[in-house]
Amino acid sequence: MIERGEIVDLLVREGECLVLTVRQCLRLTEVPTELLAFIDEPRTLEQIKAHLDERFGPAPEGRVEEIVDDLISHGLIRT
Amino acid sequence: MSLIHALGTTVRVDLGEDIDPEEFAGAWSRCLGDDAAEAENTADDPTPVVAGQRSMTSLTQAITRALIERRAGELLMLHAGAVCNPDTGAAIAYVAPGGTGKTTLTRLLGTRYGYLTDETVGIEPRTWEIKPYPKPLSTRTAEGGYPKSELGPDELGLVRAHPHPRLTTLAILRRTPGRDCARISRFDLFDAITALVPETSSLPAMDRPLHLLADLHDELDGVWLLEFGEAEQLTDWIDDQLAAS
Repeated sequence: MIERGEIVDLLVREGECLVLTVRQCLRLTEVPTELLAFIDEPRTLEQIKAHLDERFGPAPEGRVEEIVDDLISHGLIRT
Repeated sequence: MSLIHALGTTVRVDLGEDIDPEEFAGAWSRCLGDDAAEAENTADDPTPVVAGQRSMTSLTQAITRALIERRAGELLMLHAGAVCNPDTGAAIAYVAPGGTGKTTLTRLLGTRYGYLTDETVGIEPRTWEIKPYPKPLSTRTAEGGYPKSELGPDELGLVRAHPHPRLTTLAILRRTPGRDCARISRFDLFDAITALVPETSSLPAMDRPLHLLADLHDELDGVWLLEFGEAEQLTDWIDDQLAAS
């Protein structure tokens, strides 16, 4: 399962967001913003892929995994 | 034991043997309590004590840390200088990292506007009232090196602030030595917050801090970027801001 990391606050405007952790403030584009909003409760990778496919259309092979890895590296989500 | 009142709170200061009490009293004139009895009466309260510093500079830094720690989670605290219109209370805060022009601009503006701080601006959420921290100002060597002394706002002839200053203009300073004129522009919301966050203290301790900054941005109708070479290039624009508020 994939869930949110230690996020202090999340500010969404027009599909994009700023996310604050105890270490940093990051600006996310539309797809990672939607991903982060979707995992307000723990989700599987397949659930995330299905949600993003429905929202934005089919993603290139491996793209969702890349986004997940990137968000994990910044501590915004965890497995 | 001396009491320092600033950022809407109080800390006690034990001067020890290395700090000259007269020099301290001059430098901290606008933050000191009225009498020694006040300090004695608070002996059993949790007011933190700042002690054991060898110089005025290190004492100032220790007091600042203690005050910030005491207001963590209560005030939005920005690394900024600030002055206010002494008649209306309308205030400008200018955010910048250390050594990039806050104190110089504050000394220039403070001869006409009420001095609030040259280092930490404490703001009450949603009312946007500023809790002043009129600390001594550090003067630097001619080479811009280590501070050589701490001079109080009264010693420098700075104007006293309005009793209830309220933030009406928020700007981020970007100084480029040699620049011959100022360029003033407005950040969009996300750029403003991204620029402000690194210049805050204890921000994660606040309730929904990004939303708080967004509310402040909306209340002030934006956050300004002031690119300049010398502080004098900004005074006309700041005059307009504080007169119009």
